[in-house]
Amino acid sequence: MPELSKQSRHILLLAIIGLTGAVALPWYVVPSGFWAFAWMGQLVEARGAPLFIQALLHGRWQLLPIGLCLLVAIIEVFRAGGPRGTAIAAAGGVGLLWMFAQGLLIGLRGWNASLFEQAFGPIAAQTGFGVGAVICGSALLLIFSSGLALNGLMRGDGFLVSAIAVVASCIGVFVFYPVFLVLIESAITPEGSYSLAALVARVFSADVGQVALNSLTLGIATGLATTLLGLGLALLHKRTNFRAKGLLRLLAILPIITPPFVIGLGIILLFGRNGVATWLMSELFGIPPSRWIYGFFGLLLVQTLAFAPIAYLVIIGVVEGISPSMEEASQTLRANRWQTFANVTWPLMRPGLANAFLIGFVESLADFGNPLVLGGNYDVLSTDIFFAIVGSQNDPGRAAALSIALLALTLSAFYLQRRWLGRRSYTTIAGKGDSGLPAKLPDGVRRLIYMTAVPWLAFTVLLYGIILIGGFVKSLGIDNTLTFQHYITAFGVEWTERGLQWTGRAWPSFFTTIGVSAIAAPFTAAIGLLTAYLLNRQRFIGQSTFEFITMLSFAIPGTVIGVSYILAFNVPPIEITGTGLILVICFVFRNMPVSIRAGIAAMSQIDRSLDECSLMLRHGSFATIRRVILPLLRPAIIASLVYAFVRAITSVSAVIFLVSAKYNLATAYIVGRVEVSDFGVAIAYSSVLIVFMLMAIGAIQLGVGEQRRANRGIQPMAVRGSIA
Amino acid sequence: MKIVSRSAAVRLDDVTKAFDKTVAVDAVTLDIEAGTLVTLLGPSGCGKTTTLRMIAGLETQTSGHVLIGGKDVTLLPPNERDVSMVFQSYALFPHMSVIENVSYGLRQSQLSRTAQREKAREGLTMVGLEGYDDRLPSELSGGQQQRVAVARALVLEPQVLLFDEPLSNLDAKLRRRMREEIRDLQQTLGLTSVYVTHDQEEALAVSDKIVVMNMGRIAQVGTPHDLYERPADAFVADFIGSANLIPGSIKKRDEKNKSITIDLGNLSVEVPDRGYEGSEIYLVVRPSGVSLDAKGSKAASLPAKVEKATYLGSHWEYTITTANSSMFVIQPTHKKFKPGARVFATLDPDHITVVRRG
Ligand SMILES: Nc1ncnc2c1ncn2[C@@H]1O[C@H](COP(=O)(O)OP(=O)(O)O)[C@@H](O)[C@H]1O
Ligand SMILES: [Mg+2]
Repeated sequence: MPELSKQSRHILLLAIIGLTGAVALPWYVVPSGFWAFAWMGQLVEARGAPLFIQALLHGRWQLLPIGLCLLVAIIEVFRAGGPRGTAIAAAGGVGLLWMFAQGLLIGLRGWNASLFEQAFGPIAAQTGFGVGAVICGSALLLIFSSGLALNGLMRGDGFLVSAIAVVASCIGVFVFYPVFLVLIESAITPEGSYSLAALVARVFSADVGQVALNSLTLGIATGLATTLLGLGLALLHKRTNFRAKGLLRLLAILPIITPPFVIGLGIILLFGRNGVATWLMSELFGIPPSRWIYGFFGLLLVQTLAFAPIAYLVIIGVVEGISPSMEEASQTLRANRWQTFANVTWPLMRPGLANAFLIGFVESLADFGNPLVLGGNYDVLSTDIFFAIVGSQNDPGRAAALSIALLALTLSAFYLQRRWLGRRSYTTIAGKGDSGLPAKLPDGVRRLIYMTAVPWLAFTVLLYGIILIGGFVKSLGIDNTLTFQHYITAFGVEWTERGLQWTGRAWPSFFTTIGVSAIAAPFTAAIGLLTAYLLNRQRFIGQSTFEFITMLSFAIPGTVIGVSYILAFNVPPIEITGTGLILVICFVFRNMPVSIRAGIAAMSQIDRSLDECSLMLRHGSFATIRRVILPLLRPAIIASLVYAFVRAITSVSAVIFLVSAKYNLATAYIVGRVEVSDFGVAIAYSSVLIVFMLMAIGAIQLGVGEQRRANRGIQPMAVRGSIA
Repeated sequence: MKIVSRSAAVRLDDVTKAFDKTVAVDAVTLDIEAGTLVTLLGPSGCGKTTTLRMIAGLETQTSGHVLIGGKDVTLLPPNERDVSMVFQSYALFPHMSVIENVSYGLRQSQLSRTAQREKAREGLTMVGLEGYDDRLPSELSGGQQQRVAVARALVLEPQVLLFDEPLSNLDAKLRRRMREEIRDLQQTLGLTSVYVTHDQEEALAVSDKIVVMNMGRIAQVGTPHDLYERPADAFVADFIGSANLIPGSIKKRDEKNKSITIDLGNLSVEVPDRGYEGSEIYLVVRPSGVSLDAKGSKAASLPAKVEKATYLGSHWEYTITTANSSMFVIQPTHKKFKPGARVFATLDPDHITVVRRG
C-alpha cells in the first residue's frame, strides 16, 4: 500500500466518516428525535434505516449514487500517483448536488413534479434529511473542498477552501434558499402552477401598495426623528459639558437588552386609555382619553424612543472621527463658532448622518414587536406578513408578496448605504488619537440640544421606570395596589415533597430561551468570526461576490426570514419546523452579521504582518488562526458571544413564526400575554429579561475589563506597524 | 544545537506582478548567489516589497517563476518554502514571550520541546539577547525587538533570509549599529539574504550586490562600486550618491585611447569611453567631483555663480549655476564663497561618468 500524503489521509478520513453515516445512522428524520435513540432498534425499518439499507430494501434507489460518490473518493485516494484533485472534487460535488436534487424532487408524496412521475413511474415517498444525511452531506462538501484544494485553489490550503465552502453553503441553505422560496411562493397561480405574472400582480396589488406606503412613511419619519435625536445626544455627549454622561452610556446599551416591544408596552401603560398620563391629563386638563397611540403617531413615538440610541451610537463614532485639529484649524483661520460648525463639522458629519438615517429607516421597517402591540389600524408590512400567515387569512402567497415589498425597501436602503459610504460602513470608525480641543458649539445649537435631548432622556428613564414598577402593581392606572401576583404567576417556585417545582407559567419559555440562545451563541460567534476572517484576511476568487452575499443577508428583515423559514423548512428535504433546532439555526443566521462586524472591526486592529509572519514561520492558516488570531481576538470573541446570546433572547420578528408549543420563547410568550391584555405578567416578564441581561452583560464586561487591564501592556504592539 | 546555514541560490525568472491595473513588478529576472547579501534598492513604490514578498510566497506572481535552490517553488505557499523573513514592523506576537516568539517556527518541526527551547536560546545568544526569555515584546526596546525578529528568523536555518526595510523603525544611531550586526551575522553564517531598503547609504554599506529598481523594473544590478562608478542610466546615477546631470553631446571618439570628448557648449571634457551609443548624453558629476575657485581659465573650467551656500561644519554645500545648468557641489571648509560670487568650476575627470540621455 502506498504511503498516503497528509491530504490523502484527510480525504480518506472524510469519506470514511461519510460512509459511517451512510451505513450506521438513519438517513431520514426520526419522529421520536435522534437523542431518544429509538432508531437504534429500527435500523432496517423504512423510518430508521441508513442510506444503503434504504436503497437496497426500501426501493429508494435514488440514494445509491450518494454512497457511491463516497466510495469513488476512497478509491481515488489509493490511486497510484496520488488522488487527482478534479476527480475528488467531482466525487464530492456530484454527490452533494445529487443529494439535494433528489431531496427536492422527491417529497412526502413521491415525485414533486408529475413530469418525472410520467417518465420514471411512481417512487417511494421520503421525509426530511436525518442525521445520516447531514453527515454524508457534510463529508461530501468537505471532500469537494479538498479536491479543489488539491487542484491548487487557495494555494492548496484545504482549511481555507473548506471554510469558504462551509460558510457559503450555510448562507446559501439557511438564508438564500428560503428567501428564494418566498419569491416562488408569490408566483403560484390559483391553479397551482407558477407564473411571473402572478408574482407581479400580487406584489403590485393596491392592498400591498398601501401597506408598503404606510411602512415607507413610518420608516422615513422614524429615520429622520432618530437621526436628529441621535445627533443631539452625540453632540451632548462629545461637545458639551453635560454632566450625566454615564446615563448616556447606559442608554446606549438599553436597546440591545430590551426586547423591541417593551417600549411599546411602556407607552401603553402611560398613554393607553387607562394609562397614567392619560388619567392625569383628563383629571388636570380635561382632555378625554383617546386611542391616538394606536396608529401612526404612537408608532413613530415608540420607534423613535427605541431606535434613537442606535443612531446615537452610530453618530458618536462619526463625531469622534472628526479630528479636533481640523476645527482648530478652522478657528485659527478666523472662522467663528457658527462658521466652523457650518463649514467644517457639519459637512464632515453628513455621511455619518446619512448612515444613521438609513439604519433608523431599516430598523423601523423591520420592527415587528411595536407594530404588533401598538399598530391598531395602521397596517405595516412586518405585522401584515405575520397575520397573513398565522391569522384566519392563512395566505402564504400574500405573505410572500408583502415580504418581497419589505425586502425591496430594505435592499434599496442597503444599496444606498453602500453607494454613499462604500466599504467604510463595514468597520466602525475608531476615534483617532488626535489631540486638540473640540470646538464649542454655537449657543443656539447647544440650547436646542439641551431642550430636546434632555427631556427625551428624562422620558426614557420614566418609561423604563414605569415598566419596572408596573410589574409590582395590580393593574397600573386602574388598580394601583402593590402586589407580587404577576411575578408569582410567571416565576413562582414551590417546594413540595417531590422537590423544587417550577410552578410559574413563564418558566418553560424562559428555560427554552436561555437554552436555545446559549446553544446558538457559540455557533453564531464561530461562523461570524470565520466569515470575518475570510473577508478581512484572505483574497480569493469571487470574494467580492462572497462579501456582497454576506452583506446582503444583513439586510433581510426578521419577519421575512421567519416567513421564508416556514416556507422552506416545513417540508423535505430539510424538515425542521417545530423543533428547537430551527430556533437555533434562525438565531445563528439572524445574528451572524453582528458577529461578522465585531470580528472585522477587531481583526482590522491586528497587524496583518502577524499572520504573514506566522505563515513564514511554517504555520498553515489553521495553525495561525489558532495560535495567533484567536488569542489576540479574545475580547472580540467574548463580545460576540454576549451579543449573540442577548440578541437571541430579545428577538421577536423571525422566531415568532417558528415557536411551537414545545419550544416556546420568552418574547413570543410575552407578545401572547399582550395580545390578551395581560399586561401585568408581560411587564413582569420583560423586567426579568432586562435585568437578567443587564447582569449578564455586566458580568462579562467586568471580566473583559479585568483581562484588558491585565493585557494592557501588549495591546499597542498589535496595532503598531500597520502604519509603516 | 548549533545554528547552521543551508543557504541556497534564488532565481526570479521573468516575474511579473500586477494589482488590478498597476503593474508593481514588471518582468524581473534576477539571480541571487548562495551566501550573498543582495539589496533591492529604489524609491518608495518601485516594487521592492512586492518582489520580496513573491520570494517569500506571500504574494502570488501574475506570471513567471521563482526558484529556490534550483527548485521551482512558484506554486508553494509560504509555510512550505524554506525561507524566513524579518518584517518592517517586526511582527512579534504580542501575546507570546520572547522565547515563545523565537521558538514559534520550530513548533511545526520534528524537534522535541526541549530541543526547540535550546535552539531558540542559541538564536537569542547569537543576537546578544541572553536572559530575555520571559519578557513580552512590549517590554523590549525597538532595537531589542528587532533582534528578536532576527533570531526568530535565524533559528529556522532557512535557505533564504528576507529583510523588508528592517531598520526603518529605528533611530539613526541604532540603525548604523544594527546594519553592521546584520551584515556580520550574514557573513558568519554565510546566509543568502535579500534585503529591501530605500536608503542608498544603507544599501552601499551592507550589500554584496545591489539591485536598483525603478517603476517595477530592474534599472541596474551590480556591486556598490559598479553602481557608483558606472551607473547604467541617469536614474541610477542620481539615486546612488546623488549626481549633477549636465546635458551634453559627444563631439569626438578616440578609438585608440578609448576616450570620448564631450561638448558642454563652451567647454570640452575628455572621459574614458565605455561604449556609449548615440551622441546625446548626460555628464554625471558627483558633488565632490567639482572644485570651485575664485580664479580660473575659461579653457579648463566653467564660469559659474554661487546661488546658495550652506555651512555644515565638516564642509560647505553650494548650489551654483553655470551657463546652461545648475549644480550641487561639496567643498572643503576653507573654500568659502558668498552667494552671488563669481567662481570657476573645474571638473575632475576621474569623478565623471557619462550616461545615456533620452
Ligand atoms: N496589495 C496591493 N494592492 C494594490 N496595489 C499594491 C499592493 N501592494 C503594492 N501595490 C502597489 O504596487 C507598487 C509597488 O509597491 P511596493 O512593492 O510596496 O513598493 P516598495 O516596497 O518599493 O515601496 C506600488 O505602486 C503600490 O501602490
Ligand atoms: Mg516597501
